[in-house]
Amino acid sequence: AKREKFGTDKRHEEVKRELRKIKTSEDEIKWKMVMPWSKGLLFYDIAQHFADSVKLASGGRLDIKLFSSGELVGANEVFDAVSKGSVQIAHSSPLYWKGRNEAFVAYASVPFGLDAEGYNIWLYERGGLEMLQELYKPYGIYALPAGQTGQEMGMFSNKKATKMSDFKGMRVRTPGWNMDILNGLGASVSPLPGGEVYLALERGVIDAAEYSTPAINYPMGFDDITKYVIEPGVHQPGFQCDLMINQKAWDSLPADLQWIVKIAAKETQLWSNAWIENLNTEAINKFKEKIEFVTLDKDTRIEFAKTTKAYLDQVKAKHPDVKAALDSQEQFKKDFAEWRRQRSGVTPWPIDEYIAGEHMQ
Amino acid sequence: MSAEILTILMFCTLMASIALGHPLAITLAAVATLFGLIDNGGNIEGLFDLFVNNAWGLEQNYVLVAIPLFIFMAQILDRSKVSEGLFDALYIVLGGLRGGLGMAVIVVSTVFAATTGIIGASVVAMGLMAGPALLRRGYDRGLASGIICSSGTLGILIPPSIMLVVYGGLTGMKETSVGNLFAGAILPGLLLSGLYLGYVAIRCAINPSLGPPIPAEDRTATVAEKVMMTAKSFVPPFGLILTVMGTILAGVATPTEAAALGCLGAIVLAIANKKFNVEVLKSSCEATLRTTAMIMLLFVGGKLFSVVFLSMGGGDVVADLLLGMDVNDYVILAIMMAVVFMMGMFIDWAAILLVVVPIFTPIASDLGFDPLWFAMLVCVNLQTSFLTPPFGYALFYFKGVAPPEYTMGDIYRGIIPFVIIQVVGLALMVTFPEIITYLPSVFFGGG
Amino acid sequence: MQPLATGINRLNSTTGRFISYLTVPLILVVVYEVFMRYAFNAPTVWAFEATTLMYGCHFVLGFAYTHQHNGHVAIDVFESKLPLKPRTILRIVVNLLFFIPTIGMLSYYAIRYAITSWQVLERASTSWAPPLYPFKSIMAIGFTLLFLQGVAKLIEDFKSLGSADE
Ligand code: NA
Ligand code: NA
Repeated sequence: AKREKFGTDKRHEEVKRELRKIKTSEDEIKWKMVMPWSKGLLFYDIAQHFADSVKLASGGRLDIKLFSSGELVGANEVFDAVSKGSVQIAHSSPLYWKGRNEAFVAYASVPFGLDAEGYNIWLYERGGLEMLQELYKPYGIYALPAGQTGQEMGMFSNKKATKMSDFKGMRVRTPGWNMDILNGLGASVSPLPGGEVYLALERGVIDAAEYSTPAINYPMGFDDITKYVIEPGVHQPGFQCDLMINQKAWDSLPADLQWIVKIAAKETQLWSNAWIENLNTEAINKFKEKIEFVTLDKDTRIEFAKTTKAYLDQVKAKHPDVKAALDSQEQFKKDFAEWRRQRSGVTPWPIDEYIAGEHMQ
Repeated sequence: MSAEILTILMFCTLMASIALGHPLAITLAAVATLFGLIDNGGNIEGLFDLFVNNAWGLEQNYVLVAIPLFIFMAQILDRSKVSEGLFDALYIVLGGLRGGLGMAVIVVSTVFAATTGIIGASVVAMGLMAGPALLRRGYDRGLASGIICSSGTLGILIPPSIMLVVYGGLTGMKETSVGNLFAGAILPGLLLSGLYLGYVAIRCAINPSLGPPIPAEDRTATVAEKVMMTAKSFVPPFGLILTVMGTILAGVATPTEAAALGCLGAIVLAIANKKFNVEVLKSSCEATLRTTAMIMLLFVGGKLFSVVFLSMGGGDVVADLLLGMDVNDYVILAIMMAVVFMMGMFIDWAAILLVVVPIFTPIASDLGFDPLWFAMLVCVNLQTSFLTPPFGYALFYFKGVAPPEYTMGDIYRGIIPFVIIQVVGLALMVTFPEIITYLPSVFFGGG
Repeated sequence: MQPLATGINRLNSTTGRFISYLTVPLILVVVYEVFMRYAFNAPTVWAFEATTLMYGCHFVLGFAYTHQHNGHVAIDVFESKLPLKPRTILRIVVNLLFFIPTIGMLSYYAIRYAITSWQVLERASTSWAPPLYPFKSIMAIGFTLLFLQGVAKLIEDFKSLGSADE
């Protein structure tokens, strides 16, 4: 039998229809963008990259002015500011809206969950994006993924913890689902507010804390005040940022600018990952000069995974929206597993190390 | 209207409005409302949603919890006569030293600065305890308010400091990580404290009526009596402050938590003094609420004002001011410092940081200045902003708790020499950068 | 109008006195957290947030009480030089120009803000995840009480103006 063409770009038909009616708009539009990031964080640069792309592609017709955390609103107030229309757009992460709906977490970062590659496939090709937009809809927000910073570092610690028993009673600061999971593993987890973390770690109020990827962590100077990094960062295999756009502002945008925003968001998603991962290569070497990297042993990693699974099952049972998102992600991972297994073993690590027998996945 | 004109108009309107004698917090909010509406084309809903959002943000700030805690501690120490005993003892022990009690206040404030990172807490606590004490001893009201306000603001410079934490997060540079900033701020803080001491000593030596010592005929206390007084009145409260500091340094508690331990300690001292009862608790609670609400409403008003300032593009106005200038490096440095200083006359430190740090840091780097050194110069300037009229928040906090004899005129008059001292201190740090860079290089091997 | 002013004053002094005692549990919660973490290695998931939320209620409900006691700092250098009657007139005018519209709007939008929170039964994005709608409601109440206190002051100023005329 003759084989059908394998795969179609779903967007192509839509674009053909759009092209019949779309015109270059004349309107000059100014938007204000808020975010939970302060200016020193690389996340701010990601937001800036998006705004730059939009401005370039629109020939300056859509001008988005950035306001870092605290300028117009604080980190936690970003959601309301967009939802109520005080500003038109925000760059943020769904992770921070756990209190509105537990399911937002699934679209940002799940312990033992999707990595950068996984999020890209799931969001764009497996309906994740549509589910995310559905989740934001009741709040009058239109969302687009824009920024993927990949796997995070493990914990900065003054206690060398690699075995399960090491975590008993260890004083750790970590937010979100990971907090409950580490609690379940016997650590004593303290949800210390952000402004207090550095000092608390320095003085020994807490033993360990985690923050972000190597490149983003490096300027914070955690290596000045701790001795170890406990890897791998199983709590966050990926970290997804997004744009939140006030629905009315979005609807009033001319069609050509809407397309520019959508395409710039995707471009930002691609660029951010390459940019951060490349910076990580440098940051990790700088860290290695000052701080010792230790690895959780296999049994401990398995124990972490078991506890995580039990925890996630329990969250799924409580929140149908979480179940919908995580089940969809699990289905994708299952479907993808075979190809992942088959392709593994010839990953592009330095060929000399491969010859020496180190085959990483 | 252009952003430049709007920004200037906004500051002028504020200047004119504060003279009307309405609560400052409300005046700030009202001026913010007027200009916010001009800026956003009369969108009342958009503006007030933003305002309410920011008010809620202030309710979510854990670090600010230290404010009522330190105020309560000071109230208990005051009402149970513990602080009165402390200052009585200091007065007698320091005997014939002109300006002695004033200098003691500076020393206590400097130590206290190491327990709190929030200005409101330290100025108010010292204002409550030392304000009446200095008045009773016949100190010049201007000098007394200058002493309390200036040494009280050391709390935001000497670590732990919320300002340094925010600064560290803004630059994204390893050189200005929070740890480096903390280490770098210690000597500048002590230097300023030393300059205040020197100033008080000299002024009072020349004119003893400003800070009178014990009259010669009353200097009857023997050395043994002085030792006893010290042990009885001086050691307990000073021990309390040192214990609070100790819990922070030993990693038992965060600064906010240490404040709560301090409250508990104050109650214990009050009980030991047999001065603790329901009435003391009740009046301390009520006074704490009034002072805290006063400070927090100022926070709200100041926040709304700076939100509108930033939203109008006031930050760009400042940036444009510096672009295209072709002058000596140190002239640019002086201009940057002057900009921070002048902004400090009107808006709060957090808004200034958000505006100037991202603009100035790259300029300073281009000029080859050490980022840590530059950061600390900015921070000393921001500490000064709490003191500079017309909008010196420390002055308002002090006015809010000081006995009514201290008028706003006294406070404005008294602070001017201390603002000059701040500028002198800044000049010393420019001339001798080691004041800033020495400790970080010892602790972290040169940032 | 005077009964209204008296009623507002009574309401705000009662609220203020009552809420001022919140300082005590505030201290106890913080101390408890230090104790549990340091002595038992068992920090709580709730103490930091509980303190922050309590603190929010404390000061926001204290705004009006403080205003009643003229505790919000003002620069009265020029105003205090005026004779009594022009001073009262100035106070009334500034109250009507600054206070009433600004705090009135803040109260109105704070109420709407609280309603939005109730509509989605909003919780904090933390592990403890306390409900936020009661606290946003308290913020709305706090601003509204402050507004009412401003109205009471306006009534009293008008009254003293009237009695000064006689
Ligand atoms: Na301090
Ligand atoms: Na000032």
